[in-house]
Amino acid sequence: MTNSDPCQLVELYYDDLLTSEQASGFEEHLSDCQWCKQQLSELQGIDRDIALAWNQVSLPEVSKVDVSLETVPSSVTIRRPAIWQILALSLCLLLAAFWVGNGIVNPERRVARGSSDTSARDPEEPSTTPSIADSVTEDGQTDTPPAFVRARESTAVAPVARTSRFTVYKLIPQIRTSVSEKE
Amino acid sequence: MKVDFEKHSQALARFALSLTGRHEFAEDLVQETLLRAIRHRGNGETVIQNPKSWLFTIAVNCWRDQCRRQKRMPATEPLHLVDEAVAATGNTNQTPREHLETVLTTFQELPQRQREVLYLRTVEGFSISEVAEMLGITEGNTKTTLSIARKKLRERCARVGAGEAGR
Repeated sequence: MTNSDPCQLVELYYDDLLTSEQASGFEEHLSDCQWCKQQLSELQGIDRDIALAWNQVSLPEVSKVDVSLETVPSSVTIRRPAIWQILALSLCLLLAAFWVGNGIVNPERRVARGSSDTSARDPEEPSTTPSIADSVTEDGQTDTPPAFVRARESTAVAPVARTSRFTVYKLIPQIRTSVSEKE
Repeated sequence: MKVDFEKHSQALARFALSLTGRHEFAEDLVQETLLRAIRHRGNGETVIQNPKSWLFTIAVNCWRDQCRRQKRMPATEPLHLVDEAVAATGNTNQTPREHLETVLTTFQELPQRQREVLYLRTVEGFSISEVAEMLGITEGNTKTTLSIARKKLRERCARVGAGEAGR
């Protein structure tokens, strides 16, 4: 853009982009220049026509929007909890899983742990919980369970898994007895 | 912060129509714009100086995303004026209604960026700097684009008007 020809400033003047000094200088030029007057008139006319046409165009239907930021709770706070909240919740879940797995809060598991400790239990009380003693055969020999069974014995498992484990314990001597009878 | 979406919905629908050139696309664009505006309003502590330009910026970005997904710009359809549309224009070769329809048709034939700049400046009355900020372009680019768009529109309207007069 060069300021040597004031006629080139007509659009900048129309868009109000000239400084006050430039605008006053152009207004002095405008009073004498018919071409600039015509250009200015055409610019005003085309802008007015565009605005008029768009203000009278048939618009798409917009469903009623009844939303304001004060009435609707923020989705950000609802759907995204803070990181410290997630970490705290995860820690609580881990601790709960640890306690349950180790029988700290499960009384049934606590009894099962105490079955080998005879001093802590009444000797007259019949044992309701199966133990490794159930795997003793009729001829008095201790039937040591296989390695994988022993491994599971020392593993903290859920009650369901324990039930299935003792089912294995009961079955192994029976199978061995039936084999010895056949022999 | 409170944004009155109802207040700006008509202007937003009109702008969406100018962007898309089709009524069905404009409806979808308005809905998506409002959804995005509600989603991105933050926790309510964000200060929005000009809600109208904020909504328009979201509409522009939504439309660009849609075009990018479809990998092409959808074709526009001829727009129609409302039945009671009248205007006192300076064009003597056509009736006012015909002249406005010519302006609309010619406007729709402009490239996308020129349509955006011309609409925001002339219809909505945003300043050059506001238009540049909304469209993510420089002020110099905005001025040049606006000047070219006006020139094209004037020339094409004059050509159509001369053709109508010659018949």
